[in-house]
Amino acid sequence: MESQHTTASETAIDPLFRQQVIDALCEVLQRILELDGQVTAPMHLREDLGLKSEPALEMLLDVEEQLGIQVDTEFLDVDEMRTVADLATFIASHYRAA
Amino acid sequence: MMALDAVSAYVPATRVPIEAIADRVGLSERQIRLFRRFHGLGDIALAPGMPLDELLLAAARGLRELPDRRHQVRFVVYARAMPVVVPYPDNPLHAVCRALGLEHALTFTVTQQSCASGLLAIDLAGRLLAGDQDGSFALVLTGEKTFTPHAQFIPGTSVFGEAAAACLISSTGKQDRVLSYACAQRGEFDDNWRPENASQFQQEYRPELARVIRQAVREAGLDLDDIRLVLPHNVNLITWQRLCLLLGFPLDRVLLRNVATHGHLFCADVFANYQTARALGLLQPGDCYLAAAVGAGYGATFAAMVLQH
Repeated sequence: MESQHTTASETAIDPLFRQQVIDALCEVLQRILELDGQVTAPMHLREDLGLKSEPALEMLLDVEEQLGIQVDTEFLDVDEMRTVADLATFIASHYRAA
Repeated sequence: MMALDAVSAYVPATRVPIEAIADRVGLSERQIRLFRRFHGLGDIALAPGMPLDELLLAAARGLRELPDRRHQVRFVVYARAMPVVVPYPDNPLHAVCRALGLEHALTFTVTQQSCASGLLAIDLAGRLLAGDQDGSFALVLTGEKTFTPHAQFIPGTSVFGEAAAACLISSTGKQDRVLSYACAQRGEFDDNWRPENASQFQQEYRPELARVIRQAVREAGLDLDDIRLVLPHNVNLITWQRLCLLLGFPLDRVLLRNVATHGHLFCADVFANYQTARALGLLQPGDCYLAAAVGAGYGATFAAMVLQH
């Protein structure tokens, strides 16, 4: 894991790390939103999962703690992220080690 | 043109970490982690044992110009978020006016726009002065105690601190001239009568505040790029991060450093932030800046004021 803050414009996204983020997001979303079915990468955060602002921050906190990272939130608007995969791409390109 | 001739903010020296009020307000350990990590909240300013009138007086006594202008002060407008803050028949505003020798002034309180009432009071003071004799002044006061758990904590959003501010307003001053004021009142976002609208309020919060900010800038005859600094309400960091994304405005031109050390100071945020901006030399003569506030509770108000230093 990078110790420096990385952005997509500076370096290519590590596909393995992005997959780790997707796995963590799916697990955390399923738990926080108390969903019966499995969460998958193409699912829409709002339309499919009904994610709102406050649980979105809880989700982010859990993902950060699980992966040992801090996401750069200055340019993050979860409301603008359409799918789980979109959010994973953002996180994988805007993070630093915690 | 209406101007803030002098501004004084009193922020008590006592700082308390948000963990210290967790039991009182029902803040969980997880909410504390969220507040610290994303909302940028950390400590709050408190004035334990200091009554409301003394808090207001501490701010007013910081106005060095006030004693000399005392007889010219025609209006005293007290802006606060809470409609009732002391038991009847106490009136902290009257006590403050007596202590300052301002019994002759027309005196009233505005609370209708909650935490946005501070900017409303400035606008009202300007309107009153415009219809009054030359050489008149108005004193705007704001300041509040976190006297109940409800007054100290907005779940998922912010934690309040205690502070006060005082502004001497004139219709002809040159210190900080008011170029425009815009506000949007949204009565449908009433958390008592229509709690089901809470999620709609969250959804519209930033777009509505952005719209009001753009309106104030436009009515001042400026572009957003002309705004040197934004003096925000201290609601939290992430709201301003997202608002800046929406506005396309650089976050480093929003004075957010007091969020972590003061908490949300009700109506006094923008004045305390003004004082910090002056102390840090962030405002140069001629700079245009914007003050923003949102009042929520019994309806919501989004407000922005553009001034020139």
